Amino acid sequence: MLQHVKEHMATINGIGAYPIFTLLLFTGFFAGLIWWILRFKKATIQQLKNIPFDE
Amino acid sequence: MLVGLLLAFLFLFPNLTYGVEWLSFGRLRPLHTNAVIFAFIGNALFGGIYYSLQRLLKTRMYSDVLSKINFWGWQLIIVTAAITLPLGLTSSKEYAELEWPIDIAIALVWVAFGVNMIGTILRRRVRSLYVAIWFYIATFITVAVLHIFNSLVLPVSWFKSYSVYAGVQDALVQWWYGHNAVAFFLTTPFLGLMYYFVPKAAERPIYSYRLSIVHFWSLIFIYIWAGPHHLLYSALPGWAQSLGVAFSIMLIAPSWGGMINGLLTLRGVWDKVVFSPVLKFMVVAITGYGMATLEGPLMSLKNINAIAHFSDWVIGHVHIGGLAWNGFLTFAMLYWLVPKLVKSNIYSTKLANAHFWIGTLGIVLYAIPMYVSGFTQAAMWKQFNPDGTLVYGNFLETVTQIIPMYWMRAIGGTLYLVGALLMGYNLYKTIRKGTPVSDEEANALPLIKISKKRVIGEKYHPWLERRPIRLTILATLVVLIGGIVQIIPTLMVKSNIPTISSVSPYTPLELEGRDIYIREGCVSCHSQMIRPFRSEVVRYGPYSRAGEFVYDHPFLWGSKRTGPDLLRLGGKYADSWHLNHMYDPQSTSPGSIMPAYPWLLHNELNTAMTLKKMEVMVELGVPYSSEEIDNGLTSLDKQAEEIEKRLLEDPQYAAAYNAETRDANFVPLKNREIVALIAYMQRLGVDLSNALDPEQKTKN
Repeated sequence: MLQHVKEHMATINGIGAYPIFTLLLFTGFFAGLIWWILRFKKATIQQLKNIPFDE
Repeated sequence: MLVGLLLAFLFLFPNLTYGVEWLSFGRLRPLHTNAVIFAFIGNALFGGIYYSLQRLLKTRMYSDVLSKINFWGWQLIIVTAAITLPLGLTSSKEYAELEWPIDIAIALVWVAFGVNMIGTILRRRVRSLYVAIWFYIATFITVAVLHIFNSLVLPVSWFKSYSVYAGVQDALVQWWYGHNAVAFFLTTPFLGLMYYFVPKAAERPIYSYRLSIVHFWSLIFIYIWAGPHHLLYSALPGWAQSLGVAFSIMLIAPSWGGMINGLLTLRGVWDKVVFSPVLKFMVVAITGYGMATLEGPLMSLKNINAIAHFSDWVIGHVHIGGLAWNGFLTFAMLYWLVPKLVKSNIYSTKLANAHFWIGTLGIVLYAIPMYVSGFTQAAMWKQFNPDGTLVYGNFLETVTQIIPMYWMRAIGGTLYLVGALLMGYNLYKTIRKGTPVSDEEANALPLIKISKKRVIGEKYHPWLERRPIRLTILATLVVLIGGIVQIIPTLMVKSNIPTISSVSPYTPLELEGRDIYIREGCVSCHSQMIRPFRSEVVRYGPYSRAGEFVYDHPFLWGSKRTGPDLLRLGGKYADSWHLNHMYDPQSTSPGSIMPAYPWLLHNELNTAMTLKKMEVMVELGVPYSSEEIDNGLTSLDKQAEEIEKRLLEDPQYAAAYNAETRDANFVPLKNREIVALIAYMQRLGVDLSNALDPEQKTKN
């Protein structure tokens, strides 16, 4: 398996940065997302939740 | 649904529509998938979005004209699809079969829908955008991107075109599209509808709004990466396959987060579920979503995919998604919405409950036989005798074994359709007893500008929620990352597709034959992709190489094996065998469920476009020389004559053919479609066989 990945990837210049960048992007995305939602105030959440009933 | 049912019966009575070209299985199959996806689910999502959007934003749609263009344009597209697909006008790419003028119409109508939606969001009279609307926005942008990139073709004529991608690249783009069409046409808009209609019907807010935010962002981020799981063990580069598997497994988390969020919204109202058909439909729909989104990632594991792929398991899987998730959520929405719109109660709750139980039984009777049949197929395909030969060397044995399952499936489908008809009657009666639908005025106050002071120390997400354009751009970026990471390296890096020197372009006659293969939808039941398994190599021949498909615009790997793989068909049977087989499949293969294609034996091959087709191929990078194009029709004729000669060596056919010569509108055999098709089928896989020396051949 790994040799297939190597074979195809090795032909791209500066490929070393690719997996590191991808990993950072991926973990960063979820870390940011969790951090983001944990900072919500309870009142805001309640207000957002009730939008469909506020007709 | 009706077309689907007809297809289910064609498995049992293959010649039910004998001799009617436009009712043959291969042409109706794309009609079935297109009708379900674009007509049924498409109209359901438009209806649901138009209703909920205006209420969530407390304003009327941005433009009535755009709303009308959206509605009438979409219905027109459906009608054109219902005409062109049975006529055999198809690009053959799954769920994107419609030819290019219709593709452009789809893009225009879709943009009208998007502009209308974004315009409405901009004139809203509430500050924050409810989570359902984010799902709608993601649906709009992603479907637009997918549709445009996958439909890139070079036209030959008004209703014939070739994909700009070839072989492996075409497959990757197609399944990037196919997978994400499921994600962003069948899933995200319905999740938006779930986040609106489930709380409304249960009369309580969503269980966790935080979870819904995580659900949204992680779903759109991860979904787009998983496309290659449709191409495991194929000639797609290994790294892309692994990426698809890893992301598919990760998808379980957001999907189940969403399912749990939906189901837990019903906490405390489960007693109502007993009586309310709306809630009952919702419970099964959300459970179906959960089941399908657990099953999907499992099927993406390479060891499980080895069993599931090409088998009826896939058919079972998609029908859990389609019938339970999309179908039942739509039914729930209609049972809740229609009485509300006509200001009345449902005509008969009893009938709606009956619909629920008949429909549920229908789903069970549909899915379980398909699972049994899928496992049976996979087990039989892979079983070896102690001496190393296949136990079921004749593919047909693996087909006749599962006919009882096809019977049960047809019964399940019938029940589901009967349920839907009951709903039609029930809703008709509800509308009759209700009052005519009237415009509800949107009369909320316009928003006042927020002063700078109030937003000091504000968190990021509330800030973002007030800025729909920025939210849209951010969502687009999140969606695009996955697509770019996968597709760009495959398109750019030459080494991904090793060239095979013996692979050469199709001759003009073979090219025409291939187009008949595409027209008749052979790809619906026959794959052209031999996976590197001992069972497949022994049955079909050397496994597929990426370099074999470099001239295949479009690729024809297929996704289902109702019949055997055809990649190494060339030279396996005599020309006359093919002729008899197309005329009467049961005569050469007793018990076969392949329908007959008698018209191919009579129709004259249309060569008016042949040279144009070759020129278009040259533009796409196929190396036809100008000499080859100039002599295209001569070489076509020459190859056809050789096939004609071989066919007439069969004394029985020669006698029948000689009798035909007296007909007024007699067409010489060499000019008939069957000859082109035979030329194509006899070419399949021949190039690679020439490349492999005998030693390598035995190794494979």
